[in-house]
Amino acid sequence: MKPLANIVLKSVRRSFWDYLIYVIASSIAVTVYFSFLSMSFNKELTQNSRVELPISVTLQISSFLILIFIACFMMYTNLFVAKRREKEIAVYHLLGVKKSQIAAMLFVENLILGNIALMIGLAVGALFSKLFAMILLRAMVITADTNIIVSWRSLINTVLIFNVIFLVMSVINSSIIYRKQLISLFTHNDGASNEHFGSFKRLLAIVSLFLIGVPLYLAVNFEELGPIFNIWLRRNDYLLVIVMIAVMIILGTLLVFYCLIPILLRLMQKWHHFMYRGGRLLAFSNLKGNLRQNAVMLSLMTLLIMFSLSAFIGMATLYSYAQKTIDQVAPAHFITDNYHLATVKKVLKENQLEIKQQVTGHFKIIPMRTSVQLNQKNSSKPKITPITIMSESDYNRARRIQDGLESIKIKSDESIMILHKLARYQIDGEKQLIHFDQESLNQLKIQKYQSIFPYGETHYVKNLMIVDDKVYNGVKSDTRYNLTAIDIKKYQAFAQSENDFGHKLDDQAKEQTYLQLTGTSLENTHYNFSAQSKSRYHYQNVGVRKQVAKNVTQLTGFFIYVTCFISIILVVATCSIMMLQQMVDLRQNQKTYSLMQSLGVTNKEIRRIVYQQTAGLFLIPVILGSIEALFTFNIYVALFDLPNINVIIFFWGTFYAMYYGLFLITAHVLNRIINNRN
Amino acid sequence: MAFIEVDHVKKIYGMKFNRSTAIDNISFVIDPGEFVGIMGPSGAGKTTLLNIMSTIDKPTFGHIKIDNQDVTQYDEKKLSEFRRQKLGFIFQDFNLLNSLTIRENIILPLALDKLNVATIEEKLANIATVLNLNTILERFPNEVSIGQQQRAAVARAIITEPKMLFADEPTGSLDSKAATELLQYLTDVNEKQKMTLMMVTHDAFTASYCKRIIFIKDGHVFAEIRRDGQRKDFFQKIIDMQAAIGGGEQ
Repeated sequence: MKPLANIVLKSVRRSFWDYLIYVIASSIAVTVYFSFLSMSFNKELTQNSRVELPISVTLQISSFLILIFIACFMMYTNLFVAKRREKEIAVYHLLGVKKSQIAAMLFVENLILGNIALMIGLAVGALFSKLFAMILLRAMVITADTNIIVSWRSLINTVLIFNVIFLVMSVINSSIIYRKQLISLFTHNDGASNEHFGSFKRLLAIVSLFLIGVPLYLAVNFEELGPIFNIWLRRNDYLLVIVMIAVMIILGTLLVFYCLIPILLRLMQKWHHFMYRGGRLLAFSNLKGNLRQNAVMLSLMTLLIMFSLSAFIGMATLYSYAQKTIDQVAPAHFITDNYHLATVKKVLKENQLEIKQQVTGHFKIIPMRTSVQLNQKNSSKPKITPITIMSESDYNRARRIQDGLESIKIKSDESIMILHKLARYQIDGEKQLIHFDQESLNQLKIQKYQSIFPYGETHYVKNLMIVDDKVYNGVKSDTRYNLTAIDIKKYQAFAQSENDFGHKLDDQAKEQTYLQLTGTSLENTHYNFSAQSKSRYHYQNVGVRKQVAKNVTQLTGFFIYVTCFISIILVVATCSIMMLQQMVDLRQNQKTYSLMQSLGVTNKEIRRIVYQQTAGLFLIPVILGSIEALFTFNIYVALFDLPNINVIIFFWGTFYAMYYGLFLITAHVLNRIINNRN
Repeated sequence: MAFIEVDHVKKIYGMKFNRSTAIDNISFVIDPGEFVGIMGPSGAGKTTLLNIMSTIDKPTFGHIKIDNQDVTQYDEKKLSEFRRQKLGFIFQDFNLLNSLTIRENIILPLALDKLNVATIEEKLANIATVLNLNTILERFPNEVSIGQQQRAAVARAIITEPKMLFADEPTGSLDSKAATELLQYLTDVNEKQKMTLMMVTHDAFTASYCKRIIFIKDGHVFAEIRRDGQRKDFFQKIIDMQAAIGGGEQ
């Protein structure tokens, strides 16, 4: 064997634990990326869904996000391992090995290890992708066989991408010998404490409080802040607020770990009454050392925990939003327009489904001209859009079948506008000018805006206006239609049945009626119903609650799965690396524990110290991450809906239980290593 | 009455085919208030003996009695307690914890004993004054000189006022001035506080501060000499003995 190869092999054997961290970290990265990518390329999975879901795209975007995280994560682990080997590299150089030889050795070594990790990761990933896909199918209530054969496309993709990453890291590693002077490789500080908190560091600690506090303020007042941006941005930029919050939290978290926590711990150490109790002094100083060495890792952990917990709130929001959506899109078991009523009734009869009750509403569609007031003199170019008109008594009648509908009372000179929720934000921030060609409508004041449509929002071409019955009767329109909502007896049995009777109705439901526009001026504009040619304006003919519920469940199932998957994998991966790092650090701290034993510290006390310092290490990120995640609660409420608290409790509870488990495992393993060695 | 009794102690390392006997049937006693040195060539078993006597290691055969208690019969918990209350240690490389300040390093044994803060501060103030450590208490070990580090290690060893102090090559890393200061201090502690001292060294000058020296070779007691006059004469006796035993390493 060549001498260089020999050195490589020997050095791998010697630094086994350091390499193990690197290989495990890289394998986890490969496994996650590969199994996610496999799923996104899996046709059975992406085509089996009945919903028009961008599953493949979402999974690919997720894979990309995971990849970014993974690249940072691997780079960090790599630097961590590389730093530990500086002395070894220096010794080689001192013994007369050429720089080019050392660089070559490090390069080859890194590439080999990377590819070992790649192979392990791919093998585990191939197994896991099937498991993950099965869980996903279940979450989406799809019954299909998942004969997942390893996807070559994702395999090649993964191999290529990771070899690029390994190559970059190999170059970085092998360049150490050129970048650093021999003496600096030798004098690498072994974690001895030399901390000085200058005024700059103290200032940064205060800045970190500010950077965490401001997002809290922004999040709490989120709903009011969007319109404020209108003043200088001319639009309600909620996205900008969210980006600002995210950037501040990321910076704030980093500064908290770099400046604030070390200063706080130092202050605590001066609190002798608390510190001079048993092993606390040691636990604290070890914790302090750990925090300083792993500030980046811990910040990352905090942000990931925040991301996960916040995503769980998102899931809870989605869940309650989904339940509401079902009620809002399909408030009754079947909803049909007058053109398809006969078909629906026929199908119901054929399937022996008895009608419990039915309600019908009448609608007129007319053109409306809208523009936005830009300043006192100017307004934007007017747009002509259709609007549906409904009478007050028809609206109130719909409440018989639709519980969520608010009761209304309208005077003869008033109207109520029902708009989609997101459209409401625009209306709130802008001064809308509305004009009709019928004077009776132009005189109406808008009493209020609402967002729940009677009969479900998909059965309208656009927005809906409720007017007094007399006004309704006076509205001239050639374009009229009715909607009938039907509730059947024994719905639960029907909803749970596998009976695909629905197909007939499903096909009807997929059809849409289009509204054709003729003429260009408001007075000449005319709408006609058409079944064939597509236009921007259309409504759904038939709505089946069972189908809506199924689609929504698939949608929520998919997103809940993807979110949980990403969050859990990332947090577990970070925690595992944390654990391995602790084990490596332990080898350096072995002296401390031997000394403690000669000072007469019992194994039980050492155990307590180990648990205390590990608890500190795990607690700080989870507390900070949880607080940061709580900020986002208000944002979800403002943008979407009130999250379902039970779902939050479930997900957060599960997360904390898992996290606690990881802490126990880490502390237990560390304690065993210490107490067995001494 | 003897303070420490080493009774037919034997220590064997390894298993079956690669056994090696580090200490072979050694017996001697140390009286209260004695300052005993252990000398011998490398591999003679000095440190093994010190570790066994200080309860850090256990003998394969034989017994160690300290203050009339057979510590070889103690379980781990009782040993820890005993060590904490009665014994103090000074190591060649000091074993100060880099993550603690000098102050924290010194008070560590008292904190582990959960003494109240006022008592801890009082004891620290006394010892810091005696060992001239007041100016460096808030510094970390790597920010002070080697001599100061060793003085801090000594402070940590005796702040609990142990009955017995074990020192393993305490002057090994020190320059001659720092070494002399340290030895003078140990002599003071021994004479004024009547603390029993046992020191392992292979340096004749360091050993000359002891009152009695036990020479070990190949796991056996080779000879024993006592100081009954000037330190200078005792030093010469030690050199002669080292020559007889096959030389020290320096």
